[in-house]
Parts: sequence; structure tokens; C-alpha cells
Amino acid sequence: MSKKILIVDDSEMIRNFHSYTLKSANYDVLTAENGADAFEKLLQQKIDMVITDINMPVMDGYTFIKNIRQEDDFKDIPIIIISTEDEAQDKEKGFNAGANLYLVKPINPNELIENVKLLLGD
Amino acid sequence: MGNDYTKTIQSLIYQIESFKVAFNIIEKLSEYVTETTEKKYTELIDYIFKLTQKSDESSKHICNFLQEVIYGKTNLLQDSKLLSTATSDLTDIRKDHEKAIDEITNISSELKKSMLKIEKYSENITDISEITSILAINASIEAARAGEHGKGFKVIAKEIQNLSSRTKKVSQEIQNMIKEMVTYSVNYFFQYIENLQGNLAVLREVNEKLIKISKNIDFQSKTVETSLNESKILSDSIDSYIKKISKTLQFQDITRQQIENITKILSKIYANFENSLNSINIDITIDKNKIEKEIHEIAEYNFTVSDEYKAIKKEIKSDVKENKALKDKELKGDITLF
Repeated sequence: MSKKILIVDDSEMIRNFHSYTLKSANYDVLTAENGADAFEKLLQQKIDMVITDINMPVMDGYTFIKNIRQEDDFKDIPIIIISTEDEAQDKEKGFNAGANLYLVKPINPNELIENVKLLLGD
Repeated sequence: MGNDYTKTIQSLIYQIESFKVAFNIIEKLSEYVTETTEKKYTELIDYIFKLTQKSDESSKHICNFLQEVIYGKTNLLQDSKLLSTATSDLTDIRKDHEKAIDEITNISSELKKSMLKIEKYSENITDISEITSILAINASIEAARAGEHGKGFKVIAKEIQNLSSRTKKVSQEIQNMIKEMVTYSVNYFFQYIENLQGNLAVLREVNEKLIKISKNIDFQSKTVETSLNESKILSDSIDSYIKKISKTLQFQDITRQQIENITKILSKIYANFENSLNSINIDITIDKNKIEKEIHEIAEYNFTVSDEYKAIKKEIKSDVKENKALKDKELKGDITLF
């Protein structure tokens, strides 16, 4: 059975890009528009990995990651941040919140697949 | 506070208020442009994704079908090899047939030669028996002349004559029999050769057709194999292009983020300015409606695209509508875009 990845981004276009990239690498994909929407989906079904943006309405990426890490069930779930923010302080904030990897847009699709495989041990 | 100072402050506030109105329009315009662009990109990408998926599915179906035909249970390649083996076997049979015809032709020719030789021997035997008969007649004449003494010899001469005539008869009978036998055999062989040659013609025709079919199948198999490989290369290159597009279009999201950041900065600057103004505590009246009207007039003057009017919440001007209709009409023909 394919592993399921949750993509969180307020841009439908970006959600579609990542979905296509990951589906082409035989992963199942689920999408959410913001942190709150994603957190609800995470509680409802088994997710193997989360890929999230930072700047989103309702609940931003940092808050979403902190909320995930507070739950015992999601302490070890791999989390990748893909953001337009390239500052060192943004990256530090991301890692402090609990992300495993911080990637800056625009990201090469093959690079994304390689990192996902690496974190999922595929 | 001096009059000039108040005027300067009033002018500054006027400019800042104008900037605020203009900034609102720019903000709405930016939002509208990014939303529309993103929506169009999303539609385009969605369309490309669906098209690629469909194309991918169709390619897979075709590939599976062709692979089944070539390598699967029906195994066209295997059939092609069997056909090739059968064709080769048929060629061998044809060659054996040709060899047999040659051999039979040689045998019948040898048989004819033997018959001629036997005929000659028979003729010799007939000649010898005739000579013997003449000798026997002469011997009996001589025996009659010898009288009583020749009686025994006469009996022998008579027997020799009988033997000679029997030999001649038997020799002719043998000659006739052999002639008949050879004629029958040769006729039989000729008929057999004729039949063989008929079969050979059919064999040659079938053999040639099979070779043609075999070559054709082989060629078709290779063509299909090449097409399969090309289809795979094409599919991979489409995927690679989509990934490249995917990376490039992420700049759209970066631009949106940058506009949002600029908007935040400008809003903060304006808020700071308003705070500063309030702290000065001077009573200056500004006609905000007038400013808005002025800025909207400037905007309308500069706007060229009908969609831009949405940023100032105004209906599209009738002449713009007409121009758009005219453009649509013109665009249907053979046009050159600059």
C-alpha cells in the first residue's frame, strides 16, 4: 500500500504541483488549505508525512507544526516545510517548531521526491 | 503655528491621503491580478495534469497490448520464430524434392542406356543364333552326304538348329520384355517427375509467401518495439517538462507572497504616519471624497484593460466593451500579434 502524504498550502496551484510530483512517485496524496484544516484531517486518518507552507490564513505553518508535535501520536511523523521565506531566522523558527526539513521555493520536483524518500526510508 | 507650516502639513496630508486611495486601488488590483493569474495557472495545470494522466493511461494500454502481442501469451515473436523455422523446413523439403527429381532423372537416363545395351546384346544373341542356325543347316547337309556315318551328327545338327531357333525366340522375348519394362519404368518416372515438379512449383510459391510473411512480421515486430521505446521516451520527457513547468510556476506563488509583504509594509508606514499626525494635534480638514474622485479619474484615464475597472468597483465603460467586442471579432481572422 502506498504511503500517504498530507500537503498543506493556501495556494491551490502549489497543492496541485506537489500532488502531481508525489503521485508520479507513487505516493497517495491528501491536501489541506491551512493549518487548522490540515490538523483536522490528520486526526481523521493515518498520514505518513506532512508537507506544509508557512504563511497561510486561519492557522500558519509554525502553529500547525507545534500543534502536531504536542500530540503523542504525531511526535515522530516527518514534517517538511516548503516556504518562500529564505531567512535563517525563518528556518530556525521552523526547526524549533518541530520540522525535520526546510525547503525554499521554488523547489525542484525531483529534489522533493528524493527528500521525501529519504525521510520515509523508501 | 505659522500659516505656511499649516499649508505644508495640509499639502503633505493631501498627498498621503491620495497615496492611500491609490494604494488601495493598487492593492485590490494586485490581489485581483494574482488571484486571476493563479486561477488560470491552476486551470491550466489541472488541464495538463488530466491530459497527461489520460495520455499516460492510453499509452500504458497501448504498451500493454503491444507487449502482450509481442511477448505475451499470443507471443508474436515466438510465432514469428516458429514461422521462420517452418519456412526453413519447407525450404529443406523443397531442396530434397529438387534433389529427388534430379536423381530420378539420372536413374531413368541410366535405365534408358541399359535398355539400349541390352537391346544390342539381344541383337548379338539373335545374330549368333542365326549364324548357329546356318551352321546347323550346313552341318545336317554335310551329315546327309556322309550317309550312314553322318546319322548321329545329323541328329546333333538338328538339335543345334532347334537350340538356335529357340535361343533366337527367347532372346527376342527377353528383348521385348525388357523394352516393355524399361518403357513402362521410364514412363512411370516421367509421370512421377511431372507430379514432383507440380508439387515443387506449389512448394516454391508457398515458401516464397512464407518468407515474405516472416520478414514482414519480423519488420513489424521491430517497428512496434521501436514505437514502444519511443513512446516511453516521450512519456518520460513530458513528465520532465511538467516538472520544469512546476518549478517555474512556483515563482507565481513567490510573487504573491512578495506583494503581500509589500502591502503589509506600506500599511504599516501609513498607520505610523496617521499616528504621527494625531500626535501633532492640529485641526486640518481634508476633502477625502475629492481626493478619491481625483485618484479614480487618474486611474480610469490610465486603465486600458477592462478587468482593471474591477479594482475601482466600476462598471466597464461602454467604449471599452465595444472595443473588446470589436477585438474578439477581429481576432477570429488571420491576425498578427505584436
